[in-house]
Amino acid sequence: MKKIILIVEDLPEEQTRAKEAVIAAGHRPVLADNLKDANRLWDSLVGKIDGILTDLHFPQHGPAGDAAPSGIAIVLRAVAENIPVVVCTSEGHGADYFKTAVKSLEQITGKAIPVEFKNYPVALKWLEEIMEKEEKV
Amino acid sequence: MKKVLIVASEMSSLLAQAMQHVLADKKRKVVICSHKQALTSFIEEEPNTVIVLDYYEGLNDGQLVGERTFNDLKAAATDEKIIRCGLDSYGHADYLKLPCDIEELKILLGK
Repeated sequence: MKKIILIVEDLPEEQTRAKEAVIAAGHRPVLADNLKDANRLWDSLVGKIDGILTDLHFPQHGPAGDAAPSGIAIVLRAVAENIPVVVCTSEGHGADYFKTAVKSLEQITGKAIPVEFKNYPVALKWLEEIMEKEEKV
Repeated sequence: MKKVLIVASEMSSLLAQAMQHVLADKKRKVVICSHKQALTSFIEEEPNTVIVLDYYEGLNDGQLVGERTFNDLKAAATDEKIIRCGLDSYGHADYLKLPCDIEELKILLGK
């Protein structure tokens, strides 16, 4: 059965790239373009999401534009619910603060939370590795 | 066997049942679900085609949630066909205005 991958990304061209990478890897994408939508889909798919690819800066509500660091909320929820997550953000998008926060979170939880720069095939490899490890545990 | 998933609301459930009756045969299984369950059913049932009823553009938080359901399913589709049906007129190639000719629907579903 296909793995269900939640993609959280507000930019249409990046959504397409992420979705194509997920499908090419043989998985099923589920797509949200803001935090509210991601939580709605997440709630409706309780226990079915196998992994998450999330952007860091995207709106809390509505379409692309007002970009808060909403990815933090996604990462924290994923960690709380034990769902593998990889962050796909733009290089030089002020993500250094986030990397520092993620390192601390990794130390606290003992879980890997990779941060990639919009390279979806690489991000997906990371995600697959983590999902595989989680399955073995 | 091919599988068709019909997504309906309370309002359109009779229409969904009628479609199920007409479309189901030895080669085609037809399953009905609610808009709330649409994505879950889509993932679990793995249909070849989905018919989204109650399609209306612009009332996502109202009762007519067809547009949101359609967008969710379209985004999750890999090679499945997603058909939208509603009462208004839209120019989308995958849209069917209701009431429709059942043969027209069968053409959209393919063989």
